[in-house]
Amino acid sequence: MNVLRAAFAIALKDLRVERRNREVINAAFSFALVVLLLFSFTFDPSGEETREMSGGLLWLVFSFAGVLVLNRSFARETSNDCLDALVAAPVPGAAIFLGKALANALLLLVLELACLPVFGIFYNVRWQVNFGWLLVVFVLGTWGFTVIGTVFSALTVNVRLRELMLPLLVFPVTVPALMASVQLTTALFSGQPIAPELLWLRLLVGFDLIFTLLGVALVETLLVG
Amino acid sequence: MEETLKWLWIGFSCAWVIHLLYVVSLGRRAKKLRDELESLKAMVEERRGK
Amino acid sequence: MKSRSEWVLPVLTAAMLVAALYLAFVWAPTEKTMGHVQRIFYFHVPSFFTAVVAFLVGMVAGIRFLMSRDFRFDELAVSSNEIGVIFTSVNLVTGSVWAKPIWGVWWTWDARLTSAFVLWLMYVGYLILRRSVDEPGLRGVVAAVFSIFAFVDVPIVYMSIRWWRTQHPQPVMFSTEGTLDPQMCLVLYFCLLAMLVLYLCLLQIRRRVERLRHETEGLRRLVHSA
Repeated sequence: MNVLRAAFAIALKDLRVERRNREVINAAFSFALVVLLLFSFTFDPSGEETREMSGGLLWLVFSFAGVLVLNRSFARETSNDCLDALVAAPVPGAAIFLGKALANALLLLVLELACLPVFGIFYNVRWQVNFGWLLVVFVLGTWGFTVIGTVFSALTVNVRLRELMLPLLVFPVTVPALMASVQLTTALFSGQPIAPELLWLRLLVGFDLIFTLLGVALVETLLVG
Repeated sequence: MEETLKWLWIGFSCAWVIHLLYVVSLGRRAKKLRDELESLKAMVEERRGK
Repeated sequence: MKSRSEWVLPVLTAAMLVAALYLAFVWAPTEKTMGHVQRIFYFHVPSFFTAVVAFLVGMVAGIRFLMSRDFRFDELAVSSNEIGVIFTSVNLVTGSVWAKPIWGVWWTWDARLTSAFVLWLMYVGYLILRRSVDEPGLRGVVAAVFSIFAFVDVPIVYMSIRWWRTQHPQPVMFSTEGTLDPQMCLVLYFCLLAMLVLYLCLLQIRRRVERLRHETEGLRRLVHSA
């Protein structure tokens, strides 16, 4: 319980910092719009086949913008030795990790929900039909992505070329989560029921569980060094 | 038959060229390190002499 | 005595590779539909298995390093993972050359190829990550943690890509699936053994280089800090 309370405190701290200076969310949202624009050049955006690749498009946008969010997660703490203070604080490393992951996931979710209507307008996608399930997929997919991303953000914080290393490491490892999210999102956009795609939902839940546990187990060694 | 033999030959040589290049690169890395180690040891000796 | 025992592995490797060549090129029967090019499988498939073994060894060595902070384990980890990348490269290249005459394309996004490619990318990332950390202790920790994540991810990646591809059209993979000729099977196993011995031999060389690098790095710090 203590760990969870500490995690919430850290998540709240991160979100409060973000609310005050809007360091990440503005840049990430604008970047997402840029990517949406660039995609319109690669194929005919009004075509019927757009719907078949809509899930893929959307998750590419999310993961590109997500990396921007993740990049700052631990790097933000490097000035004034905040990270050392955080590690020295009487909370377990797992709490720092879970709190940061929670803050990142919430930020990314806000970003995704802001992108969704824009995406719907630009690419003529009906996202309202299965909104409940879509939200579930978004939450699970985002958690899988941010869990990996938060661990790797801690991993690369003291590394040269941090901003370059993070996407290089995050994208290959998150392939299963991204693929499951793409598959589910595409199905939901085309108005299909969730039932035949339950396999992917299970994969997503499994992925989230495995890597959350792994992150909790390993983050202490990573932060203390 | 001849055609597939050609492809077999290409694939086979690619595989061993990769391994060969790797071993050669290891040798070169080892040589470079050995040289550097020598010069570093010489520097340490020199300092100790002073 | 030491120098003599060092030669055991390379000589054994050379002998086994020559034998493997003979078995794969001469002794094994020619496959009916694919012809001679099928013989590339005797190097293609064992390379992949060896790579997975190498990554497994790399991960276990990484865990041992995290527990003991003994740099010999870190040296073993990086050596094993780097050789794993080499074997995965061989697997990808030979697979690609095989696909060209059989499928008519160099590459298809089939489950096995894609998983191997993801695997390759992850471990190339591992090597690049190592190069961008200067402090040896931190480098060991960071690399070990990443290798654990990467290795745990491998089966999940494979599963997910297989499900993905079963929902999309793909070219036929094996014409002889399920019924592998016993003679072919024997050759395949022997080649696997030969590749594993080659792995051990490369590992021996690579670890010596890594040891040297570790020594040089330590001395370099000493010289520059004094």
